[in-house]
Amino acid sequence: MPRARALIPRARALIVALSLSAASAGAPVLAFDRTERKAVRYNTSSRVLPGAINIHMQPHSHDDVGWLKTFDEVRLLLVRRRSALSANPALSASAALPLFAHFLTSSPPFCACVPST
Amino acid sequence: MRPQYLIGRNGSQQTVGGVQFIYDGVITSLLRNPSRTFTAVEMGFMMRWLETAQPEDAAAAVELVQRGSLVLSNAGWCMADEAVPTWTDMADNLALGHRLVARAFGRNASVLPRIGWQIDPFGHSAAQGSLFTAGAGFSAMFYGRLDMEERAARKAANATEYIWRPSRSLGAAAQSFAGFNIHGYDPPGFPDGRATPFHFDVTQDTPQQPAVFGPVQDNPAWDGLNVDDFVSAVLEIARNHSSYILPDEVDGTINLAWQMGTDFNYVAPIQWYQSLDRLIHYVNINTSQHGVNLFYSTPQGYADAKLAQRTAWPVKTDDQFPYWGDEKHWTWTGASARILFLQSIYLSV
Repeated sequence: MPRARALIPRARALIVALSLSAASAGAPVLAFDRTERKAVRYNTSSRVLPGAINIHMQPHSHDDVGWLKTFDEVRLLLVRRRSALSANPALSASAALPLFAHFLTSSPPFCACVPST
Repeated sequence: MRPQYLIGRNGSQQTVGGVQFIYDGVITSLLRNPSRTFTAVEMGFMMRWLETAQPEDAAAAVELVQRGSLVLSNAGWCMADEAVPTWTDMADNLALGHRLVARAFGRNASVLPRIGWQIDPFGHSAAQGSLFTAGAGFSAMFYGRLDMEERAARKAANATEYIWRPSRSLGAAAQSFAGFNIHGYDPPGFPDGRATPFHFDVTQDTPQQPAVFGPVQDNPAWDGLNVDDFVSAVLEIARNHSSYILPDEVDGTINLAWQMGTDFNYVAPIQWYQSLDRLIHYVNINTSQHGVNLFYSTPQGYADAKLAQRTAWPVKTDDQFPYWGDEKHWTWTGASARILFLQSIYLSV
């Protein structure tokens, strides 16, 4: 909390600003004294310093590309992929995925719960 | 791929902000201060975002990658699990991602990924540590999860970082620098176990787990001035961390890595960068007194600093399975059985 004394110049500036706005109708006036603003210019340019304990901060975000799918969601995904691939085999970048999808739709017990897609 | 994590729609299962917003906001933050850095990992998201971003935003991303502010680590389509997939699919994952990087961002040395970043997989394979590290042109691999007993033993022996040579056939031809992060992939907590004060993300300040100090507040005219608390925290955590990290044997230089982020963070990146800017500024005012120097870096920059050290690194030649996790009753069993099951499916069809 700023001390009461420090408030006085600000209050004075406020009063001046308000009276100015009353005097000259039209142009908007700032409601606080901008000359008291203190912005720090942060020095963030440091690099590795020999002899020091150097802390390499690594900004990152860990983003799973796919997760929290149920088994059914994965199976549906593969079933649809298999249909697309049988229409155009050139799409396949890897043999494993369509083969797995084929297995899931043709072998018991999985084929029993294949929905009509 | 279903786009929920990209567009930001999966709130019923976990807090997800939307990776498209992460990339968009990070680019703005990086442009505003050329000291800032960010590392992007999953090219599945990056390519999807580039496809639909405004041309000037995509161009800004390319510029930032070529400048070295936005750095690509790992850069497969996704971050592959190491226990279950076939090695052909692991190769496809990295090859596809790197091919897309070359096409979208260019082929110069500063752009192409040169670090393995396996921060979430549960245990680590010899194939990953050889074929998909040195074999992929990476000079180092950093990871997060490891067996709890190995973690304790390595910390006690000052061997958390080492030369990894896990292929019996390829030997030193496929070795690289490797090591595990201080806290999985989260910012470091206090040595006595108190939570990290560096969780600056909007998603990390919740009623269940409130932020420790909040953002770095440096205006003495306002409540909650906490610069001294933060500087003390940095010094305390850094001194503890450096007690088990090998220094340069000639001049005593120590390099530490602190991961500043966690799951789906940086949707509002200014929350991070404002506080990180201030941390750097206030810690480094007195580097000559306390000896700690804080700055923006990347996994690549960290690996370069490590490899430049005159240090006799220990050597590790085994893989990192089976995986017994962080708590006493959290073991990933059955991984080997799963591999055989899946491979038998591929072979039987």
